[in-house]
Amino acid sequence: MQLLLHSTELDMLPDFVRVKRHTNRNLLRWVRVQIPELTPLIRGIATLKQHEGNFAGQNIELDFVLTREELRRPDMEAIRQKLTDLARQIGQAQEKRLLEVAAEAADSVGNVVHATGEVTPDKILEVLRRVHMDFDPRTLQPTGGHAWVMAPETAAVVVPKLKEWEKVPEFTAEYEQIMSIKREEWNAREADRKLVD
Amino acid sequence: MLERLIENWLINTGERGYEVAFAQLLAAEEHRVLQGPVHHPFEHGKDILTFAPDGQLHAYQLKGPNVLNIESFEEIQGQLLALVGAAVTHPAVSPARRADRVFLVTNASLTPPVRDRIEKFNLGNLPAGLPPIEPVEREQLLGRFIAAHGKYLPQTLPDIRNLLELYYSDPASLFPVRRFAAYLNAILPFPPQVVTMPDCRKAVANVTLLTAYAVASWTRADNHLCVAQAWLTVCLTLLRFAAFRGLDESVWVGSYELSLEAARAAIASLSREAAEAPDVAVPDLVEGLVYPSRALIVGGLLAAYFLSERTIGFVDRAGQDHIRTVLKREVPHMVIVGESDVPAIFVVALALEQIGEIKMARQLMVSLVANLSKLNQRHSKSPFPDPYHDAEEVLLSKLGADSDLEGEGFDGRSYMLHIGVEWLARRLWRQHLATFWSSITRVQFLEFQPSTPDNYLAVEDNDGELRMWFAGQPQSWAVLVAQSTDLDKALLPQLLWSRRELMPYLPILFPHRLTATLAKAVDAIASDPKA
Repeated sequence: MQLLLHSTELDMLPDFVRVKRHTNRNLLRWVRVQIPELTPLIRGIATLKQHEGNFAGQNIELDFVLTREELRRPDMEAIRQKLTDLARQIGQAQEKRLLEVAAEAADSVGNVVHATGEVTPDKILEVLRRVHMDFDPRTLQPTGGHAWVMAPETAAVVVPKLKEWEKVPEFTAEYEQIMSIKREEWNAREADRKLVD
Repeated sequence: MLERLIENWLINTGERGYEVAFAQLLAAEEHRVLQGPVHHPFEHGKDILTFAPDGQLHAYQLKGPNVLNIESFEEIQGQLLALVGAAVTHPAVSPARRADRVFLVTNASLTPPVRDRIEKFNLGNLPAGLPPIEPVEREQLLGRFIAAHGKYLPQTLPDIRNLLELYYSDPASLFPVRRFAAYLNAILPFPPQVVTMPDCRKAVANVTLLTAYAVASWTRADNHLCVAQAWLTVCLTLLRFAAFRGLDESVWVGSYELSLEAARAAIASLSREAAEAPDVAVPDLVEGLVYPSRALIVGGLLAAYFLSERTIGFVDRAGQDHIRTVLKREVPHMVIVGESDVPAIFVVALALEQIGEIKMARQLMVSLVANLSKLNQRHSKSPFPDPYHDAEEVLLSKLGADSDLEGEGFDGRSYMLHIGVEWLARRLWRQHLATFWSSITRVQFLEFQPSTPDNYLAVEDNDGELRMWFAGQPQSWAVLVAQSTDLDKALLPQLLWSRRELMPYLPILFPHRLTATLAKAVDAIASDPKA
C-alpha cells in the first residue's frame, strides 16, 4: 500500500519531513489493521509483496481528499474517519477481487453448485460436500478458511432457514456424515505429508 | 564538481586506493596491461607492467603521498633501482629484458629536492644504459583521469548525488550493494541506448574509475569487506553489460580482471586479519545485537572467496588455514535474521565440507531447514523476512525502527526453504528431511525466475516471474533426489559459466538471486571447481 500525495501549490516551502514521515507511517499501519477488521471476508488471508517481475495482481487506486481547511486545522478524529472509509474501500476492492478469482477458479474446474430458485437443505449440503476443509489436530474441529458469502437479502432468508434445518435430525445426520468424510479426507491428506520411495 | 571530487580523492587516497584506477587509466589510454597492481617479493620494483600503444614495454612503481621529502624518497631508492635495472620476467616478454620506460607514480607533488635526486639518479644511470625514471605526479594524474572519463562522467544530478553520497559515506557502515549495482546500471549504456564499440570500451573503463572513487571512504578505512563487495558488484555488472551488448572480451575483460583482483586482494586481507584477531567484534555497548550478523557476513564472504579461488587455481595452505580458523570459530555465533542471510549460510556449509568439516556443514543446513520450516509456518509470529530485505533492515524492524519491511508479512512462505531441502537431498540425508517433511509441506515455496539467464546478474528484473508451489504430499524421495541434482546449465548466464570464479559471490551480493538452479551450480563447482 502506497500513499501518493498530490498538492496543487506551495511545494517550495520547507516541510517537517521527519514528523510527517513518522505520523504517516503510524497512520498507514493503523489503516492496514483496519482493512481486515472492516472486511471480515479477507481477514486471515495472507498478503505478499512482490518485489520485482511481472505482477499478477491489480492496482487499486482510491482518492483520499483533505480540504484546505482540514489541512490548516487538523482534526485527527476527522482524518481517522476518512482513513476508516479508505480502509473500507480498500477492503471492499480486495473482497471483490477475491470473489472474482475464487469464482474463476471454481468455474474452471466445475466446482460450482447452481442454486437458482429456492435454497434447499440439499443444496447447502452439496456446497459443503464440495468445500475443502482442514481440521485442528487437537479438537478435530474445522480450522476455518471457508466462509458463506451471501447478499444481505439472501442471508435474511437463508440464515433463519439454516437455523430451522439444524433442528431436523435428517439434516444434522447428513451434515455429520459429510463432516466425517471431510475429516477422513483431511486425515488422508495429513498422512500424505511424508517422503515415500 | 566531479573534477574536484577526483582531485579530492587523489589527495586523500593512499597507494592502494588508486592503484586499480591507475591500471584502468592505462588500459583506457590503450595500453595492454600485462600485470595489474601486485605486492609481493617478486615484483622487483614493478607494480604494473604494460605494453604502450607504440609497443614499448612500460614499468610503473606506485607510491602514495609519502615520497614528498628526500628522507622518504631514500627509503624507496632500492625499489627504484630494481625498477630500472631488473629484467621483466613475464610470459608476454620473451626473452626477459629491462623495461623500455619506467615511471614513478605518486598521488602527491614531489618536492624540488626529490625531483633533483631523481634527475641525478637518471644521469648516473645513463652510462649503464638504464632507462630514466619518469615521475608522474598528482597534477598529471588528475588531468589524465579527467580525460579518461571523457563524456562518461555522471551527467544527471541523481547520478552525481549518488556518487557524492558514496564518496562521503561513513566507512563503518555496510556497503549498499543493491544501491551501488543500480547506480552502475544507470551509468552504463545498456540497450536500448545506441552506442558504438569505442563508447562501450570507454563506459567500461569509466565504471572501474568511478568505483575507485565511490569506495574510497571504505578503502581509506581498510574496510576490506565493503571494498570487496564494491569491486565484486562491478564484476557482476560488467558481465551483464558484456552479455547484453555481446561485447568481445577485449572490450571488458581487462576492467573485469582489475576489479576482480581488487576484490581478491581485499578479501585476502580480510581473511588474514580476521584469522589473526580473536573474533570479528567491533566493540560497542550493543555489539551483541549485531555480532551474529557480522560473523555471518564475514564468514559468508570468506567462504565464497574460498570456493571462488578453487575455480581459479590452488588455495595456498596459509590462505586455507585463515579461512578454516575463521569459519570454525565463527560458525557457532552465526544466526540468520532473515532469508537474505541464507546464501551466506549456504556457501559457508559448502566451504566447510571442502575443508573437511562435513558434520559442521550438515548441522548448519539441518538447522536452517528446521528453522525455516518451523518459523515460516502460516500465522507464525516471527517468520524470517524475504531475501529482499538485508539484515540491517530486519534488525531495525525488530527494534521497532523505520525499515523497508513496513507493512509486509512473511508467514506461510519461504524463498529459501527449498534450497536447503535440495542441499540435504543431494547428500541423501533422507532421515532429516523425513523428520521435517510435514512442516515443510505447510510452507509455500517461492522463487523468482529472472526473465533471461543474463538477468541473474541484474539487481532488479521487471520481466521475470515469481513462482509459487508447495512441496509434494507425498513426495517421492527418488524424484526429489533427481530434481535436486538435475542442473540445467543453460538457465544461468553463459558468461557466468566462463567466469565461474564469480558464481559463489553472486548469491552473497544478490541474495534474492539464489534459486534452486544457482544453488545447484554453486554446489557443483564447490565439489568440482572445474565442472
